[in-house]
Amino acid sequence: MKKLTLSMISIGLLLTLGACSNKATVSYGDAQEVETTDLSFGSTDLQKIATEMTDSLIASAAVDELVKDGRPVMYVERIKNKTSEHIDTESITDSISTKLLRSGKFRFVDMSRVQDVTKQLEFQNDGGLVDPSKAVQFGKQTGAEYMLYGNLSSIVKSNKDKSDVYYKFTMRLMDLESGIVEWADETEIRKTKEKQGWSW
Amino acid sequence: MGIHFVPLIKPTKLRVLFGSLGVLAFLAGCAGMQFSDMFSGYAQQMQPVRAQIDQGQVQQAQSLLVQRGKTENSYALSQLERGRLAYLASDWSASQQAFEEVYNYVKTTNEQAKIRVSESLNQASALLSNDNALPYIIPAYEQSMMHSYQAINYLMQGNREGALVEVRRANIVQENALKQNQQKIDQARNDTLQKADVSESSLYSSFPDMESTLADVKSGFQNAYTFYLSGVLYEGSNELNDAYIDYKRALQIYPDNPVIINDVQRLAKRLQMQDDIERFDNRYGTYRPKSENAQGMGDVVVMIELGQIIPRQDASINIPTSHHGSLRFYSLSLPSYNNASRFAAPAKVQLSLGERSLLAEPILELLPLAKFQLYDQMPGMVARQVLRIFAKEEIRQEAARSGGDVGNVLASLYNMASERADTRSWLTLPQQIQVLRQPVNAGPQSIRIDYNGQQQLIDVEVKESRITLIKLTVTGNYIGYVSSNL
Repeated sequence: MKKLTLSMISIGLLLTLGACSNKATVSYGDAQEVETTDLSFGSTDLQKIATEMTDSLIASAAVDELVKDGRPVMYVERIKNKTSEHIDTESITDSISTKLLRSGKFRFVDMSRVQDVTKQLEFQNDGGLVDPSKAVQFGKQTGAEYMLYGNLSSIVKSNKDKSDVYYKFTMRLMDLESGIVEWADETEIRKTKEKQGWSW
Repeated sequence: MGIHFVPLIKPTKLRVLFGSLGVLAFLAGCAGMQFSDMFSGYAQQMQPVRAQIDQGQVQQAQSLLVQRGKTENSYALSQLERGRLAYLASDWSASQQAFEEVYNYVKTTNEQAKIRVSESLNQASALLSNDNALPYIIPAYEQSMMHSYQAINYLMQGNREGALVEVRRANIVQENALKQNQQKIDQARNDTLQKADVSESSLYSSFPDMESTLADVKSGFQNAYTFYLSGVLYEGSNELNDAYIDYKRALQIYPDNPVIINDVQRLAKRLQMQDDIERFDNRYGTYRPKSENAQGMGDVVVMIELGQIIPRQDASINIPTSHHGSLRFYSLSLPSYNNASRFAAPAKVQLSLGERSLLAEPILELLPLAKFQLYDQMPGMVARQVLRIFAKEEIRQEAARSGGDVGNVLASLYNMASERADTRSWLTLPQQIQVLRQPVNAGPQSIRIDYNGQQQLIDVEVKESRITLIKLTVTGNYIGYVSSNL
């Protein structure tokens, strides 16, 4: 009896110590690798959305028409987050505009930096430090002809056996002058997680 | 050691006795309890914090809050209290962080495996000490309240999209609560039908009666305030359809609240929901707008949190029994909500806008939600209590065998002292929430709040066709408010 208790205690101690000596490790991985840590919005979802949307936009016949006479100027309006997660939609916007710029078919104006630009131009023109002949003039910027906008929504469901999340990303391209929507597309993502049977 | 004494019991037996007491302490440690949790209930530990809030000393209250580590089983609960106190102190980012911790905890718990070995260890230590050794499970009503506060945290930091994310999370929680309790609603519906002796087809004629019965059931696990807040935030973002749905959900829980009735009728008209307009007109009379002229006006929405939620009481009894001439104690303890110590109904709040005086309407009572939760937990608690009496009696017998009278007395004392009811619940929540909504002229406005003789003047800038949200907290001698233009 006594021996049994003793051995039980030592097993318990070993288990506790085992947990303590378990070291964390850091390693580099492939940024494009499929990531399935948990159900929430992750890098793979972001990459999938950005790639599919830009591919669809560049390949569409309507856009071929638009880029016929040079590279149209666009700007990306914020992507509206209508999900139940705090997602940095600016990062989706950034990925999409970068990919579009890389395609060489479009030019962009960056609306998120308007304030900084204004400040810089004010400094150059009114600060008195910059040679007026070399200062960048006000009123010379190009206005955007097209607006790219969209929203991301989700449906989340779960029961005691599994959880399921569905994302839908919709994007549209609007001609600012006529108000006509020249292109629209959507992409969907579904992820399901089944619960483990048992664990520690 | 300089003191010599003649041992009452043999040293080997003493070792065994201390060994078993050590095992008990270890079990408590491994279950993530603090030593004090074994011998004093949660409601008792929170008493000083609550007293400070009533005095308006939020900072002192924060410093009195017991710190709990991540491995402790009341960690999430302590983060709820921390988040709420930070919210009262207008420290939005700290409050947001604490609530985010709770959300992550809830998420991990929901995703955990169906059977967990470590869970049975907790159960075992609950059998040897008390139910406080079990991890605290955050009930749906506390989750929905948490997301409501979190929405305000985001709003006050200028992140409206974040606020709407929280509102959606709250709605998911409430929808799940509805799903889990659907059976109770169905039963209430059938009972009413049977009692009224009417068929399902003539349900429509007995509509108001049915509605209030179902509202009573629903108010046990769903919370109208969160739905209403969600509706206001959606309306502020011009998502009228979403707002309409949430106002209607709030109305299902509080079918007689004039504020919600007016909002539902207003949006039904705006969105041209013909069937609904007819139904609501039949039930509540034709819609009358609060102000004839909407031009140059903005809506002021005041939400008032009153008092503090009543804590669970520890109902403990020690039953002395005589067995073969030796005296024994069986200790029992279960939590309850004592009706006798109930607060008097909170007085109404009067708002003066110019010369007019308006009354706020209750939109949420938290006690029924807390009671419903306890009622749900009770069968499990009673079962564990029965098992615990046997387990503790086993310990006492073992201690008596190995430690003689000293062992017997020590074990009996331990058994009695460690018998604590699980009085854990989120205790910095208010007792009641009232709401008031009124269109006023755009521009700077002074709003005077009267509550039980206490007065507070709130200066806000009302913007045309926009909602100005004022959140007021009144408890004891404390009045605090925040406002935001949606």
